[in-house]
Amino acid sequence: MPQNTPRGYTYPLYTDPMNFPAQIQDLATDIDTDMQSLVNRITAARNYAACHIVASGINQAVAANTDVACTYASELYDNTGMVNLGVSNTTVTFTQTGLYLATARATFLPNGNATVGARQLAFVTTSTLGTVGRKSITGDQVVATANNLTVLFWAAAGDTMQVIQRQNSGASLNTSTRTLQVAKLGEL
Amino acid sequence: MVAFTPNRAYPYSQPSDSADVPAALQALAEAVDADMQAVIDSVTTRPFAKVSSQSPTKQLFPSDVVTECTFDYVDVDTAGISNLSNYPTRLTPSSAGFWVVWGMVEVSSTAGSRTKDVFLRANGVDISRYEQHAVDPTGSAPNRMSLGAMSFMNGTTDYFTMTFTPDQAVTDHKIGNKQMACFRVTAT
Repeated sequence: MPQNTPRGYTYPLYTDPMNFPAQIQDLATDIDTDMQSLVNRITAARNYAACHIVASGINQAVAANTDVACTYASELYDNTGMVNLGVSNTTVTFTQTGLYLATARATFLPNGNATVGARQLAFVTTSTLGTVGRKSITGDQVVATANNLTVLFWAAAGDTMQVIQRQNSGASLNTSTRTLQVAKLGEL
Repeated sequence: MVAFTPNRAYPYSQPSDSADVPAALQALAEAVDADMQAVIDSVTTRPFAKVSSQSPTKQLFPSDVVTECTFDYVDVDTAGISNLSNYPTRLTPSSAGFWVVWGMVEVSSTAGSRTKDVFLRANGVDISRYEQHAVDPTGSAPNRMSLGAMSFMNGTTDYFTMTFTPDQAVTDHKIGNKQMACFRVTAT
């Protein structure tokens, strides 16, 4: 009765019938399957979900004191279908469970209002963590303000995320360029 | 006629082959050995690099001029990503994939600038921006502006840079402490 090593490689015993071609094929095939599984695992560990979407110079209105989800117009990279701008131009859907790094930027154009206030970005997810990052900086009456936020957080497959912009200048203003990059951290 | 396994192409004898057990085992062992070595060689550490400016001579950033930050010291580089002798402003990822880039400039509180504008760029095109407005309190410590971004890089010619622009400045800036780093998140 042939035996197996702990990894499942088959070898004959002295009591087994002598059939070298069949026995070496068994061994070669077992190693082949095991090695291919290892190679597949290495490849998968290097190739986790990531996306990069932008709206470059496309104005979006942000009313005062109102949460407004950033809109995007172009996919520069998306290796697992995290984004479908035709269905939603605001939402990223996590396709894999794991630890994610996300970076976002929005350029708030000035509206000339004497009340300047703040320009805020937040990462809002549907995961149990909810809002995973928020950053608010001082705006300006006459020149643009670019806010930038980087967060590290856990998300499950099926969760979604939006970047929420908000400002309290007392009047509406536009954001012009918005970028969002999301990547699950690979193991290798 | 020797046959081969389906995935890794390991050779094994068939009943029609001559009964040369040592030769057949040697061929299989050598094929597995070479394949295992190739797989081990493919498992490299995550490529990353960090560069900074250590020179006592601070870099000049003229007011209202977009200027690339220069670096003169390699803190770490595991994959030939930096080449500061020829490209003192660049990090050039040496393998294709989705990469994180991070940058920091330390802006003196006495420089007299009201608006400070930092970009991270891939091939000269901005991928993130941090523009803030503040008149620093007298005597405050230098402000370190840091930001992150991600982008797919082709592993050969694509490169990261960081620019700094003092807008609305009453004087040009001189900055000593600048840092930029990058690492690969996913391989494809």
